[in-house]
Amino acid sequence: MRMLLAIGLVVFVLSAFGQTPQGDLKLLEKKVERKYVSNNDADGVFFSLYKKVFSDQILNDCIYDRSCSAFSKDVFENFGLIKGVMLTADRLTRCNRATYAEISKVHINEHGKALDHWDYYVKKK
Amino acid sequence: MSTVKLLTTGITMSKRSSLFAFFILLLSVNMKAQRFSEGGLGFVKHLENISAYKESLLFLKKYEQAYGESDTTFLYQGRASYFVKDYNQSILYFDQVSENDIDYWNQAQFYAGWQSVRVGDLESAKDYFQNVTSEKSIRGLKSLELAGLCLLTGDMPQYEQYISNLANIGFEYKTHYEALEFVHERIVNRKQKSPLIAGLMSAAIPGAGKFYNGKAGQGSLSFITSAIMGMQAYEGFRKDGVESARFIIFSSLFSVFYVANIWGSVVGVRVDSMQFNQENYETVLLHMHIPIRLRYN
Amino acid sequence: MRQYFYTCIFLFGCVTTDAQLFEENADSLFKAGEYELAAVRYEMMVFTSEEDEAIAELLLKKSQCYKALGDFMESTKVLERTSSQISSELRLKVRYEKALVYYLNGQFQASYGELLRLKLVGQKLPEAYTHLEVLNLFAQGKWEDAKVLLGSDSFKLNEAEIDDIFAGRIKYKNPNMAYKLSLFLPGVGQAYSGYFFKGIVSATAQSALVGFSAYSLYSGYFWTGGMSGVALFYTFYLGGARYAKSLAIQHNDEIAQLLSKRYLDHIK
Repeated sequence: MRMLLAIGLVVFVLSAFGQTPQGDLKLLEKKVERKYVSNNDADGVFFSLYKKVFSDQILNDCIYDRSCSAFSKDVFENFGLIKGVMLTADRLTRCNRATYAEISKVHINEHGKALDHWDYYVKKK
Repeated sequence: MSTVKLLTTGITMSKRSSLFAFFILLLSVNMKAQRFSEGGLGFVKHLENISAYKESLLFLKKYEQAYGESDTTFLYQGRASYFVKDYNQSILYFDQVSENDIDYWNQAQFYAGWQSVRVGDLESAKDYFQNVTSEKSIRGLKSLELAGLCLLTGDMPQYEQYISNLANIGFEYKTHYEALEFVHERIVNRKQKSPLIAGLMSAAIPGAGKFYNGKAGQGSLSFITSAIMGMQAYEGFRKDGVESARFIIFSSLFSVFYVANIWGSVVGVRVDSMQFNQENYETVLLHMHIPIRLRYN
Repeated sequence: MRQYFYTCIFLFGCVTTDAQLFEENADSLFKAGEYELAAVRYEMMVFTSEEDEAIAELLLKKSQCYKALGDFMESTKVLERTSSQISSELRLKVRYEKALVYYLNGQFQASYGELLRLKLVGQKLPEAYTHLEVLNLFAQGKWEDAKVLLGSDSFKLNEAEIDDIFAGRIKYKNPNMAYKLSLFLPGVGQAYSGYFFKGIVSATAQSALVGFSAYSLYSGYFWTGGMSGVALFYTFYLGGARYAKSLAIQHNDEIAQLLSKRYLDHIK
């Protein structure tokens, strides 16, 4: 009986304090080996060129959660050329602090970006 | 204490009396299946306090497997799902709370009703709020919720009735029904803007349509953009003539921005009224939410 | 007769404790890989315990459930609930665990803070703690400090092994320095951060724009030169400086990752 108790105690202590540095090391290795995922979705030539060369080089402090280039891509895909050009140009004139100041709190997300998506411009009955 | 007593007397008990004890215990297990134990409820509340909602859901699932379902398990699963913002699931749990315990029932109706509004199901929300019993302590809250709902569905006569009711029975909700009144006034006083006028104004002076729509900053920047493009095109025209590359490039850029400014003013009116509605919806939703949370925390 | 008693005792057990819900105890649930259930089970024990010491031990185990699930955020939250009024041995364990999950969660400052507090206690720390300290120094860009630490007695590394880890061009790039350099002369900041080609692209674009503006103004196109030229130059100028800064941060991250990888490969 006493033997059993002793064994039980040992098992309990082992399970309680059995910190496994080996397991921790594995976790650390996993953490170190993580890769940065780049989103290589199929863009058109124009957008991929913009993204690769210009996007980082210019001061693009977009006030919107869906950035101007992504928004432009959306409207071109969904509305075609003419409406796409118009909505993109309109969006570019709207992408500034003066517009931001007039947007209500409800339409600003938790990262402080204003909400403006292509489907706002679908004509509804 | 009672365990010890039972065991010590049990040794000398006859077979029949131990059978009797067995059935008493069996009975108490059955009773248990219907009532949530004090310890279990305390633990679930503790889990809510430390914001471990997923653990709470897991525990309650286990509890149901062991002792069967009860109003308490449904209510607290509903609450946990509500806290993790799984609204549809939460409504399903609250639906199963029965009318046996009035306090649980009302709580479930309020939360299910508010979440129905949150997910946009105003029809069921009305049913939920009307299911609430008309006890004195929650009469005000019920009126407030129904007033908010009427405001969202656009049922203004009914809304005014609830609000006038609230002045008598729900004085503690003063800030909240005043907020509803504010939204109500905004909706009533809102002048519907015409896309046609906005478009025409923007065609005459770039950005004017946006001023008309109440967006002065956006309008002035539209004007500045168009003006800069226009001046550059004019410069090309004056210096190099109509057929020069400079004029063609800048005049097409100007045309794009000019037409886009008209286009933007026209669709802007619609987008703006959509955003106006959304804003009101969120405000009303907020002032329907806070009192429920304060009442049933 | 006896079987009735056993049945009675069993049923009574059902009635008195909700713990009966779980057939297995927390530790065996943990061993079986049922980490979510084990976490709930540990929390039930926390709920009924009253001593800080016992609670801290249970919370430590609960945090390991979340660590095993890969939810390091939750793990840190659980550990933050431990009281400080516990035995020094246990506190050591809690601090180590905190440092580890903070690191895994990417909160390097907090992780290093815990390690420094561990050091203040003055005890000789086991190996696992020192690994974490080195990795933290790598992650924070304090590579020189890391090198000094690796040369100390607690690491059984010789000169050649350290040089092996720090092979190649290992140099910390100051992000603010990169920003200022690019403001001073466009493209230089990017080159400083180790991206020479990107620096050239930026410099070319900006000098082209300056040339365009100057030419336009000189030939009398005031609107074109003043607006298109200068405005575009302005976006490229400030944008380039900001890009140089982010490139320096990216460079440091990559080097930190490389060093950590080499170090972990080495101690394996």
